[in-house]
Amino acid sequence: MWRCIARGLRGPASTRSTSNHSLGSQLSRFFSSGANSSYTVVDHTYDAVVVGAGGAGLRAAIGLSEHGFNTACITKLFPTRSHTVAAQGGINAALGNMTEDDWRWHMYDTVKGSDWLGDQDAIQYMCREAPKAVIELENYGLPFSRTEDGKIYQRAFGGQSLNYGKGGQAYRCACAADRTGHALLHTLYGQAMRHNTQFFVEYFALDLVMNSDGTCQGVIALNMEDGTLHRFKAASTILATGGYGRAYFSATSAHTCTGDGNAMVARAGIPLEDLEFVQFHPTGIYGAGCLITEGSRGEGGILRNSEGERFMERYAPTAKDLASRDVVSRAMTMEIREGRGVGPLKDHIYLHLNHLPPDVLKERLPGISETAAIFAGVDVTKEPIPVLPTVHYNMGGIPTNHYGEVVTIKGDNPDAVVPGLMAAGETACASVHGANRLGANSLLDIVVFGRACANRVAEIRRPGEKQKPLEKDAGQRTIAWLDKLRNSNGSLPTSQIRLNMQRVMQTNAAVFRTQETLEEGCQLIDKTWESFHDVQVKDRSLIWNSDLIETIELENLLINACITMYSAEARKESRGAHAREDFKVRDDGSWMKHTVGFWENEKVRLDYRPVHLNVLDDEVESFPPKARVY
Amino acid sequence: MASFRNAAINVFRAINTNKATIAASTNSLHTLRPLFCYSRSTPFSSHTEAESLQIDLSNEESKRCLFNRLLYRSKQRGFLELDLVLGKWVEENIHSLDENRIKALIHVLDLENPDLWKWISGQEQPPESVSANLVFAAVRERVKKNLDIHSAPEVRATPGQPWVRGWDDIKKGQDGPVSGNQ
Repeated sequence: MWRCIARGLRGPASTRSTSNHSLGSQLSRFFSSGANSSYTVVDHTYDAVVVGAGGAGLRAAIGLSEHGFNTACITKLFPTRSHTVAAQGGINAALGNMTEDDWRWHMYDTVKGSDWLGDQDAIQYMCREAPKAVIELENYGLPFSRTEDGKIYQRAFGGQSLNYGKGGQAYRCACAADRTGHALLHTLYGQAMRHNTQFFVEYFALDLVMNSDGTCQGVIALNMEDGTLHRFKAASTILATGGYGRAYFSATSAHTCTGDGNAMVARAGIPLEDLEFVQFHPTGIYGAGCLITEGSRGEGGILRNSEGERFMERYAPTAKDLASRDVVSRAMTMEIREGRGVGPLKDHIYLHLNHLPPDVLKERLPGISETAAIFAGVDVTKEPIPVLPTVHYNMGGIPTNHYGEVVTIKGDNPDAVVPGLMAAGETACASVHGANRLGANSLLDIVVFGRACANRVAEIRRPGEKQKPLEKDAGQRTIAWLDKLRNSNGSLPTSQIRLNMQRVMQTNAAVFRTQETLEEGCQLIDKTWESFHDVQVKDRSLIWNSDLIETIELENLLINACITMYSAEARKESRGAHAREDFKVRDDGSWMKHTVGFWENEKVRLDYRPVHLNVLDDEVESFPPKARVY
Repeated sequence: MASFRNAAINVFRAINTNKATIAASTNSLHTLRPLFCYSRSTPFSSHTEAESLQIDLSNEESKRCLFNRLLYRSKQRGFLELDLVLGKWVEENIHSLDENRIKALIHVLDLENPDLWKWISGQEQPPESVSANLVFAAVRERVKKNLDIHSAPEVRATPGQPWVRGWDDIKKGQDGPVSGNQ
C-alpha cells in the first residue's frame, strides 16, 4: 500500500520555529521521498488557528481576536466565497418579536426534529444562546429585515412550534431578505478585519499536526499560489470546513464542499460521528443539483417514470405527488433501482409541468422555467424536468461537546476531549441536529458554536502562552503523502474516480436503504477506494496545480463516503434522515447512540457513544424520547 | 535572504489583505417588500486583490498559473449556480481570452454572488459598468440564449419578481413536510 510506504518514510527534519510573532516565519527545508525532490516549509506560531473562513470560522476568529488571541485563519477560498453565502433561509432564535416565544420551545422542536438523536445538553446550549448570538450579529451590523416597529422580522419555518408543539406555528426565523448567508459572511468578515485576524487565503489545509500524546498542535497547509508548505503551530486549532455534499452525485453544495476538515480528523485517528444522517430534497435538477421547489408539485406537477406512469399513486394513494419529502424521495429512488428511471442510464425521474397553465408557471412558480432552461436545457412547456433526490445537508461530522471541543472514545470515556482541537459549523457534530436538522438551525449552529469555540479557548487558555515545541518529525508524514500523491502515475483520472464514488453514494446510500443496497454499497465504495491507488495526477507543479488539489479533495471525499456507507449499513433502524425499508421503526433500546467511524489502515472501524439525554442545568427538563409525529 | 523574502511576502500579504474594505455598491432597481425595510442597496462588497493580481502572459508557466487561478476562482464561488454557469463558461473560453478580457474576467470575479447571479439570470438589471464588461456580457448572452431557446416568454417571471427556491418549501396540513424545511 502506497500509504503504508508513505508512513514509513523519514527524512532529515528541521525543528526551528519562532513563537508569538504573527509576521515572523522561519524557512526550513524538508527532503522527502528521494534526493531530487524538496519542499519549502515555512513555520508560523499563533495562539489559535482557524481552518475555514465561512460563517463558523469567521465567527470563531472574531471571538478569538476579541479575547486577545493572536489568530490565523486559513482558507482555500476568499472568505466571502464560502458556501455559507448560499444559505438563504435565515437564523432561528426565540426572540419573541412576532408572538410570544421561549428558547425551551425551540429546544423541544430541535430535539424532536433530531428524532431524539441530538445531544440535549448541546441543543439546550444552542437554543438558549440563540437570542444572544443574534443580537450580537445585529450589533456587528448584520442588516436584518425589520418589522414596522423596527424589531427584527421573523418568519415561519416548518417544524417550529410554540408551547412544546401544542401552541401552533412559531415565527422564529430571522433573516436578511433573501441573502442571509451572504450578509452574515460580509458582516463577520468585516468584523474579523477590524480585529486584525491574519488571513491566509488560498491556502489548502492538508493535515492536523498531532503530537505523540494525542494533542493537536496545529495544521500543515499548502500555499496554492507559490507551492510552499506552511506549518501553523497553535495552542488551539478550530476546524470550520463545512460539509461533504460533493461525495454524492446530486448535491446543492458548492463544489468546495469536499469534507476536508472531516478527512483531516479521520487521518489523525479521531472518529467521525453520525455520518449516516444525510438530508435530501426530492427534486434537484439532474447533473446540476439546483433545487426545484416542492411548490411545483403543489401546483399540480407530476413525477413520472420511464413507463410514463405517475408512480406516486402507488406509494401514496391519497397524497400522491404531494406526499412528504421523504416519501417522495424514497419512491423516486425505488423506481430508479427497479429499472424504471429515465435517461440513458435510467438514473433519474421526470417532473412534468407541461400541462400547467402558463400563468401558473409565471405567477406562482416564478423562475422555475428559467432554472429548468439554464440548468437542464429544458422547455417546461414541452418537456419534463429531469430530477433526482439531492443532498443538501450533512448532519454528521467531527464529534464535539457543547463547548466545541473535539471528543473521542478513549478507554471507558466516550467523551474524552482531544486537547487543542475544536470544530464548529456543518463540519462539526455537536450533536444538535441529530438524525435530522430543522430548517434555519444550520446558520444558528454556525454562529453559536463558532462563538462557543472562541469562548471556550478564552476559558482555558491565555494569549501569548508558551507552547510546547513541535516534534522533530511534525508534518513529515503529510509531506511524504503529498509528494506521493503529486507523483501519482496510475491510469485513472481523478474525475473518473470521483464520478464513480458519487454514483455509488447516490445509488446505494441515498434515501432508499436496505441491507442489500448498503452491503453492496460497502463493497462498491471499497472498490472505489482501492481504485484511488491507481489515480493519475498529470500536473507535477506545486503552484496552482488544480489537478493535485482536486485529487487531495477526492481522497477527503472518499474517506467521508466510506464512513458514511459503513455507518448506514450498520444502523439497523429507521431514524430521521436514515430510513431503512427493512427496519422501519426507530429502536431506542438498541440504537439510541451515536455512530462513530474511525479510519484505520484504509478501513472503517465503527464504535458507538451514548446520546446525551441530560441537560446542562435546571433551567429546562430533559425531553424523554417519544415517537416523532407531526 | 530566503527568510527575508518570505517575511516580505507575509508583509505584502498582510498589506493586501488589509486593502479589503467595506464599500457601498448601488443597485438601481428597487423592489418594495411588505413588512420589512431591507434596502436593495447592498452595503457590502469585497475587494479580492484584483488590482494586485499580476497579468503576465509572456511565458507558458505564468500563463498556466494565471489561468489555473482564475479557473479555480470561477468554479469555486461557493454558490452552486455560479459554480456551474460561470465556471463552465470560463473553462471553455479562458484560453482564447486576450489581456483586456482577462482583466474584465477579474472584475467579474470580484462581484458579489447574489448580485452576480441575479444579473446573469436576468432577474435584475445590472449597473451600467457591469453591463459594459465584456466577459459579463458574454456570459449573460450565453444564458439569455439558453433562455430564448428553452423558455417561452409567457412562462417567465416578471423582471424583478423573486424566483422561488427549493429551500422555501412550506406547506400546511397533513401533507406538509414531515419536519418542515430541511
